[in-house]
Formats: sequence, C-alpha cells, structure tokens
Amino acid sequence: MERKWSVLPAFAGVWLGIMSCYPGGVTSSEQLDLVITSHDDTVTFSRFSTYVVLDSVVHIDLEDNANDSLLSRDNDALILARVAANMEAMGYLEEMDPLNNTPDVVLLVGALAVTKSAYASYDWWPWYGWGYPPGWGCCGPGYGWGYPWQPVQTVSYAVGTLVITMMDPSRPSLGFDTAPVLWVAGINGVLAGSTSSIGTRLATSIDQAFDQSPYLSPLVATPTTPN
Amino acid sequence: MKTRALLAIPIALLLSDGAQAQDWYWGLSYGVATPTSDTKDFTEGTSWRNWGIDVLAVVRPNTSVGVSFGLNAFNDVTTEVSSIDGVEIQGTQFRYINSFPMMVTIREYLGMPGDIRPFLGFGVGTQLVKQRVDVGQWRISDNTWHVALAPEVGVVLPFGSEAKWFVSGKYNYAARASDRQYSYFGFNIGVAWQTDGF
Repeated sequence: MERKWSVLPAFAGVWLGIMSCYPGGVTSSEQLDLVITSHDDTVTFSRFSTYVVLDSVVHIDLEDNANDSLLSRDNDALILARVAANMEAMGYLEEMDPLNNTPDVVLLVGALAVTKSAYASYDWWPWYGWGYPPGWGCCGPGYGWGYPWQPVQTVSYAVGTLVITMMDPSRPSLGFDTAPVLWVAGINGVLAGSTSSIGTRLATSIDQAFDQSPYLSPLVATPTTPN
Repeated sequence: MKTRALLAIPIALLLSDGAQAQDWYWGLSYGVATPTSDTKDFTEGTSWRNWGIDVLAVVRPNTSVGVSFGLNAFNDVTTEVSSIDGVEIQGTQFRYINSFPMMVTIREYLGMPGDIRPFLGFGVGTQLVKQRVDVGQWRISDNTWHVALAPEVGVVLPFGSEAKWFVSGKYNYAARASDRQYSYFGFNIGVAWQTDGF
C-alpha cells in the first residue's frame, strides 16, 4: 500500500472532526440577552415593606449623540411599570406619599447604549453561519474562520443595557456621588427589532431579574446577617 | 511517576527485539460518547462528534502497541442561572467541550490472527480539553491539559487481507487539573488497514 494513500484518509478524518467542534450558536437577538443581578448579602430584605420607583428612566448617552438615536423612550413607561409590577408581586407596597413618608427602598432605572462593530462573513460550511461577534471563530480574538473567497463585511449594531438599582434611602451616603446599593440588575442585549419586540424582550428580562433574586421578597426570611 | 511507568510498557514492547518485523496498522474510527461526572454537569447529552486515529504495531501475535489521537466534541445549550462570586447570570449559554486525547496504547487480543478477536486495551497519556461558554456577547474559554487514562474493550473483525473492522467501548478519564476533571464513555466503530509504517 502506498504510504501517501495511507496517511491521507487519516488527515481527512482529523479535518472533518475539527470542523464540527462548535456547532449551533446564536440564531436570534433574544439569545444574546443577558440578565445579571447582585446584592449586598449583609442586608435582610424581609425588614422592608415599601418602595418607590423613580418616575423616569435615566438615559445615559455614552457616545454624545445629540439626537440620542440609539435609545428610544418608547419603552420607558413599560419598563417602569414592569419594575413596579414585580415589586408588587414580591410583596412590596408602593409608597404613595414619598415626600412625607420615606419608603424603605427606592429603585432607580437607567439605560445606556453603545455601538459595536464586528466582521461578518458567510461560510459555505453550513453549520457556521454568520460570524459573530469579533473573535467568534476558531483563531482567537479578532480573527474569524474564513476562506479567501468569502465576502467579508463590517456590521455595526447597537447594544443596550438597562440598569435597575435598589437603594435604601435611610442609609448614609458613602461619600460624594456614592450611595449604598442593596441590589442591582443589569439587562444587556442587542437593540435589534421593532419597538414592541424590544419591549417584549425587556419585559421578559425584567421578570427574570426578579425571578432569580427571590431573596428580595419581604415575605421571605433570608438567612443573611442582619444589617 | 505512575504515568511514566505505564507509558514505558508499550514503548518497551515497541522497541523490543520481537517488534522488528511487526505489522503496522492505521485505524480511523467514529463514535458516540456519553459524558459522565463533571462533564455531564457542564454538557449533558450524547455527543455525535467523536473521531479517532490509531497507529499501532502488532508486536506479538496477541499484542499491539501504538499511539491514539482523538477528538470528542460535546456541546449543550442552557438558559439556567449561573452564580459566580455572588453574581447571578442568566442568558442563553452555548457550552462546548472539545477534548483531544493523545495516548500511548496497548491491546491484548484473544483468539488467533484472522479470526474475530476480542481485545482489552489500555491507553495512558494526556488530554487537551478546550472548554468554552458563549453567553450574551461574551465568551469564557480556557484550555487545560490533563493526565488521561482510557481502558477499552472491543472486538476486531477481519475484512479482506489487509483491513479489519473494529468496534470498541472506551472510558476516557482525564484527571483533575486546574479544578477541572473530565470523563466520558464512548462507543466507537472503525476500520484499520495495514500499511508499511508511518
């Protein structure tokens, strides 16, 4: 048997194997949504009962866009209502006269957006699909798996982050511009699709942020160190 | 130290006087694998992407030694909440484990050459494991090297004068390193053909 013919099938096997290393991957904007929560574990949330959600979503424009084109206010009312609904569902009561009766916790909602760029190329190999985002490939950050004849395009996309912060107004400030935070949720995703579809994703993610934070409920005795 | 001792056995056999006129075989195999233990916790479910290459020399009528290379690719998609350092993270996680075992192997065959021959095998060597999670717009990945063992049981089926089919079950165990341990059980089917060496 010729030596070269005995080696080639083996290398063909290796090639086939390596090509199938990373099947699947992102197929929709929803799959890029991320919900991150964290809390001060020295706080016993069961001692709280009333809340207020500030009446505006603070838009933070990191790119100094004069027209604030990346962020729409179309979903602001939905966001604030959803946060309040989740607080009610957890057992909190909204303080209707916060000027005279200090609520136990105050929730601030902020939003920011940035533009990101990525190289995209369409592979003929069926299970790779669109390369996304930078570094999404075999060869490390900044390099996607590619072939010389593939069309390569640069795509820009907007990424939005919603930040929900829960604070205790009775606790002293830690310093200028710094206040103690009891709980924070970050909701991050690609701003793609219609206003209503983004609104649906925001609502789902806000619900998720509270679902994965059961310790927030004033009805649950949390096994944490009293403050 | 034990690993070196285990490695020395097949190497000594390969270099022994009886190995001067041995038959060489290339083997190419495909398999399915089921993760176990920590590997199952990370990527649950059967993997259908497993490939192996064996080069072996029949140094005695009932003994072969050689080297084995493999690729075992596991993946999973989950939306479970992960907790890292007091931070809860939820999103669609695309999880991957790509394992590359590289071993020195020894097999002991029952029966006579030319017959259907059951065999017991044992491999020892190293395993590169590339673990990756894509979640949101972030990627967490690392590569770890492990000392690896792979007991194997199978059967060789004659197929013409220079080729043989083989089927086997192999348990791959990659010892804990960098707080990671991997293991999986694979069922493989392959073909081996006689060659004039490397």
